Amino acid sequence: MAEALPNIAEAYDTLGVDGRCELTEVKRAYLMLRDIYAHDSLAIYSLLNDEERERRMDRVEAAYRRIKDQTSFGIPSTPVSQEEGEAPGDMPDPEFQTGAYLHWVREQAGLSIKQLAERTKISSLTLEDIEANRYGHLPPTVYLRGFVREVSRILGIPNACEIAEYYLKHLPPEPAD
Amino acid sequence: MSTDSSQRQGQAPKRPKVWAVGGGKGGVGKSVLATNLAVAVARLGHRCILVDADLGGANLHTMVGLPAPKLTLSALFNSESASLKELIVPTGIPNLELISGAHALLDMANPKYAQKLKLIRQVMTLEADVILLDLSAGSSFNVIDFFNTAHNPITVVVPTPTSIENAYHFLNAALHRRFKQAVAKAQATEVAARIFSERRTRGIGSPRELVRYLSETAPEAAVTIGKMMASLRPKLIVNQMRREEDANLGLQISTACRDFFGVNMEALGAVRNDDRVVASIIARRPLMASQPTCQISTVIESMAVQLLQQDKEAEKEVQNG
Repeated sequence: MAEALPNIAEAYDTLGVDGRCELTEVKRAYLMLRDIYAHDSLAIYSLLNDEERERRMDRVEAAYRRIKDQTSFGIPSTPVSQEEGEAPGDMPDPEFQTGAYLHWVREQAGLSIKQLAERTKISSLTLEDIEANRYGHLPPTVYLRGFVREVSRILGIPNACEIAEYYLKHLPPEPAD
Repeated sequence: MSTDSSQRQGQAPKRPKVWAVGGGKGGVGKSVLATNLAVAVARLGHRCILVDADLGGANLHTMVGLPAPKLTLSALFNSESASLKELIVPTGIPNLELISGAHALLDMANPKYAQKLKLIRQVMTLEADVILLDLSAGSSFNVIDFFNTAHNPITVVVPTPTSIENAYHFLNAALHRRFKQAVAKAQATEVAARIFSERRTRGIGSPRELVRYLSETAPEAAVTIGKMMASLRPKLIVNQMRREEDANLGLQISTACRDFFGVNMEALGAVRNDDRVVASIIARRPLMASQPTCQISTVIESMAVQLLQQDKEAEKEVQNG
């Protein structure tokens, strides 16, 4: 981890993303590379030895830190939320507080509900309902699963499918009518 | 999408696009994918010729339900037949024809370079929109030379360490061969050899870093080499996917390739493991022909569409200079 922080162009190059893209893109690229260069990663089997793998992992970490530092200058990466105005706080548990977790990740990514709605093509009302666990307002399970996956994917959460399943577990049992 | 119209308008005859499926480990599904891709191309209305270039283990005729044809590629290598055209047999599937590689004698699995050139030249004169070459596994020059000359070189992996190891070995070999040819063309053999021998002391750990270093020491040669390397655009198909977490494997491998080799390898997608594929081989009828709307066929068809689209774009680029 002793690697010096790279210059910003190198950092974008390392993560393989365009210098003009948003932080969520950067984060997604970073999480992907972190998976690729993880210990026991299938994707790079036999390509790199352990030392080389670690060197690359360090470089990816350093590049991500560099970009994050850069972008958090001047403009805060988490705009003060209009709805709550609360501090981001600790990460809620993805499995047991899935709605709150999605809310937290979105705040971390610096996205408003409206921005997320534009990207996911899911209405802001539904997105708010999902984050706030308003179960009575949520669409049928088949749609909901897809929505939660898409939201997770756009937010750069690597295990989007799992998050969707966690979310569905909280649903109250369907009334037998 | 017929070739005739452009020919009749007095332009140069349209050359077919060559797609080659090969390399890596045996048994990962190269022939199955090649056959189904060919059927997909044919069903989309393009004339396609499937060429069984796996001379050591030709069996595409069986895949499409034909007995081993009398005239095969071996006739070409024996000089019994002068032209590749005479070897074409219909498959019973509209728009799809086959050139078999059956009956090859032992030594034919390793044709001489001149024979390979002859075959490649003749393949380019066939009247079709797409020629689909099914190559063998392994990283022999044989496979690599056909792979590297194709417009769309496609390699196949299954989500196992053994398959991925072989795929990287193959890609490394293919890129290395192209690199050596590029270095020779750029007349930079000495510089490249020197950098290569000093790679440990200079901390060069990957082909990408080697090219980058080369561009600092020999910028002119590096331009030529860079161009030739960039013209190789391998594609990747992940086959026999069983675990949901492997859905991203293609993308991960292509990212690692960009990072390590400096090569843009496009991940075409992932095909799930399905017993219907085995059933289709036993029935000797490609899944794409018998069940064109099943999940696997749809995925393979979308790959064919992607490749056709890229061929079209490449053609436009050439026309626009």
